[in-house]
Amino acid sequence: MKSSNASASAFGWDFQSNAAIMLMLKNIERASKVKVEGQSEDVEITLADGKKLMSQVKAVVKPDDFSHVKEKLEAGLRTLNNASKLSDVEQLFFVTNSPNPFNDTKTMYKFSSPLNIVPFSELPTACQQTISDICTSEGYDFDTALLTVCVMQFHGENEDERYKVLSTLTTEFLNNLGIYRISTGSLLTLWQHSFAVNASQVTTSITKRQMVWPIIAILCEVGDDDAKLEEYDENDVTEILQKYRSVINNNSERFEFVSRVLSDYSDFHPEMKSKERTKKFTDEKWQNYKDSFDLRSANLTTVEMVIRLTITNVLRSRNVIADIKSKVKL
Amino acid sequence: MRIVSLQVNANQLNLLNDNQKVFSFGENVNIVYSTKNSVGKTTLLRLLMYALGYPIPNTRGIQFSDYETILTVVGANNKTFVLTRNRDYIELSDGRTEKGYSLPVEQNELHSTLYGIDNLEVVDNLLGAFYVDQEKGWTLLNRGKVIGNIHFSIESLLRGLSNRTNDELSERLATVKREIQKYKHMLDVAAYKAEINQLGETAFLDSPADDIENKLEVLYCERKPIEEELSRIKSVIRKNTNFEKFITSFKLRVKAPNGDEVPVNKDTLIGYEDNVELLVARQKIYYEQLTTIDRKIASLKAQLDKEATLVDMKTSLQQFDSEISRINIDAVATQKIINKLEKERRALEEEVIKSVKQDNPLIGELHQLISSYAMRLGLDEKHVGAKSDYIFTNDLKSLSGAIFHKVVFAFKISYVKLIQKHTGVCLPIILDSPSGREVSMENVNEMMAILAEDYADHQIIIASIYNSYDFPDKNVIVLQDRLLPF
Repeated sequence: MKSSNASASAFGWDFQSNAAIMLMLKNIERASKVKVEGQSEDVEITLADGKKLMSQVKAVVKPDDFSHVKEKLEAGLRTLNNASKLSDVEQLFFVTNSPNPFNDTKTMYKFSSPLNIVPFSELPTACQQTISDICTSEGYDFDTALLTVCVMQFHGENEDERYKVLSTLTTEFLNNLGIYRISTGSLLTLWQHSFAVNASQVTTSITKRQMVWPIIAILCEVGDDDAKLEEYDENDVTEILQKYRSVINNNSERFEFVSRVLSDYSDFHPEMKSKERTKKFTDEKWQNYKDSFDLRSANLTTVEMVIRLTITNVLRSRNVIADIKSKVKL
Repeated sequence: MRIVSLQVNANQLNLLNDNQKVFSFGENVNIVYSTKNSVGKTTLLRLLMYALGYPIPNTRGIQFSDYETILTVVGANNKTFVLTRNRDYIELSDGRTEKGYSLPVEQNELHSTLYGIDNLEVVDNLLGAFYVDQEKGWTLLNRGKVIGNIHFSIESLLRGLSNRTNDELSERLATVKREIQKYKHMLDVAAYKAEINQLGETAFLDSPADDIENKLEVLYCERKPIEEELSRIKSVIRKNTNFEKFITSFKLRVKAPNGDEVPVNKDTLIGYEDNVELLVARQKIYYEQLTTIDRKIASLKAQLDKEATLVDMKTSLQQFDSEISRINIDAVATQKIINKLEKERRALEEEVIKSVKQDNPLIGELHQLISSYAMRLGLDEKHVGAKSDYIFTNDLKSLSGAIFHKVVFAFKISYVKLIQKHTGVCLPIILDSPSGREVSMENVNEMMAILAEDYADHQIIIASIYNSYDFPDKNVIVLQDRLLPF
């Protein structure tokens, strides 16, 4: 039997870190961080209330090779049994990419979707029986009601193919947040690399903050959204940004400036609706911030546009941050 | 002008022999004579020309630059000049003043002073008029090489003598000639390129290494703005941290509406944490982009190293081929340009000749001289055309050896006469082996008779294996064994 301490191959690690992302996305509201333990093939999700979701992740390099799936299941159950002894464990997951985790073609239908998350109670009877048999013969005493079997398609050298499920999950996640203009691929890569960077350390943990803040950062970038709020022509804004992006960012990122704008804004007609209030605020107040900008070579129209775009960006960013944080319960 | 003496000094001291030798020349006829060939007659004549400041090619066995020459001549206004030449430096002294000239740049000024002729086109063509070299001299009629790279052109001489020098035209002609040369080189390159393409030797040129280099270049370009943005964000983070530390350092406490006391620090500053998180995330995004690019760079560099070990270093010939194949030359277009320029060159040359020929009394005068001397040498209109523009003839092939020899002689002495008439300069006549070819002794004697009769005022220097020429007061310089004993 293959030891659960078998070193993770590159493929195994890739599957494990992607399984971690999958589990995080599926539990994003409650989760606060995920830890990936390469050696023991563990993925451990810590929820905001301190409870834990313990997972065993077993990869097969060839999806049609069922020769070791049973051994992998047995090994996984043994580790999960040990994990169940820890306090605060809320759920146990067995995650694999084999479409036939029980080496029983009759039960394969249950795992034929791209992503199948099946609690013990919903497993085919034959599968339940297999698990019970293993537990009985090995003397495992964990509560099978805590167990969920996950089969996630994850195959091929082609990244589009291999990460199809993850891509779909990421897109769903973004759509749920009402975000449509962030590239799924680049965000997923960013997350995957968060694990890959630390792969040599074998143990990596990623917090929800680390996963979500890049999204906020992308959304807060000065650009079309600010142009719309200011009712500027997008082409004009593109031109301004080409030249003055750093000037705008240097102010919108500076806490001193952000604090000043937000403070002025919070005293400004609190009774008004957000969009009109923002417009009125920039109309009336932009000149107050001239001292923060040193734009001697630009003409007056440009100076006004730069300052107004900066103010709008600060105000919009504050809304984006509050919105996303509340949606993912950060 | 008349040569008085030539002193040749060895530049390197030689303990065994004398280190200098002097040759003296008489006012009238001088025969440089030796019974054998290859003892230095030609070398002595060439040494004279060298000492005069001309760029004369070395003769076999003697490097002119190994010697210092001191030439005494009677030149312009019957003044005696001493020319001391060391390699490319020549000093002209008239007994009172000395002036140095750098050769070949200042050759024309030197000769202008020496001969007392201002027109540089005349100065340029003097040597071709009075000196007949053994090798090329007897085939040079009206245009071509006198010796080495010294040119003679009858058009140029006549232009100078009749003061019809057209700088603009000749400059344009020179430019066109230069351009034709350059385009021809271009065509050579195109031909070379076609050859390497044909042989399929360019297969290795677009090597994977070049391809990788290009990709690397692009990546470095992508990397730069990201790196700049990263350092900008870092600086903002530093400013924010300093600001927060500054505020916190006051240890301010504020009172909330419910009466709670709240310390002012990074945890209580509203929006501070969000600000930090935002910047950290932004930094991470750019850092991620940077590492992606760096990973690509590293992998390309590894490939490049692999290439380097797999493929031997290009030889310089391969490198050259590679460079050549990159040059974009349109051979057809280049050929067209050359054709066009050639056409222009011919037109310009015709124009130059025309400008000389038009209503120029010198042409008739020169033709008259040549005809009369040709007649005396037994030639008739079959050989020397009756029309005066015959002097510009290109047809040299129809003349057989002996006749050609005599025609050349007639032309040369006519030039000298013409120059004397129009500038007053009495040039020497220096002939190397006039008895060569199939010229009969009778003809040679007739040539010498003409010289004795019509050129008595001119200094004559003849190198020959005959000493039988019939001249009164001839000065014979006999060479034996070696011209220079050092």
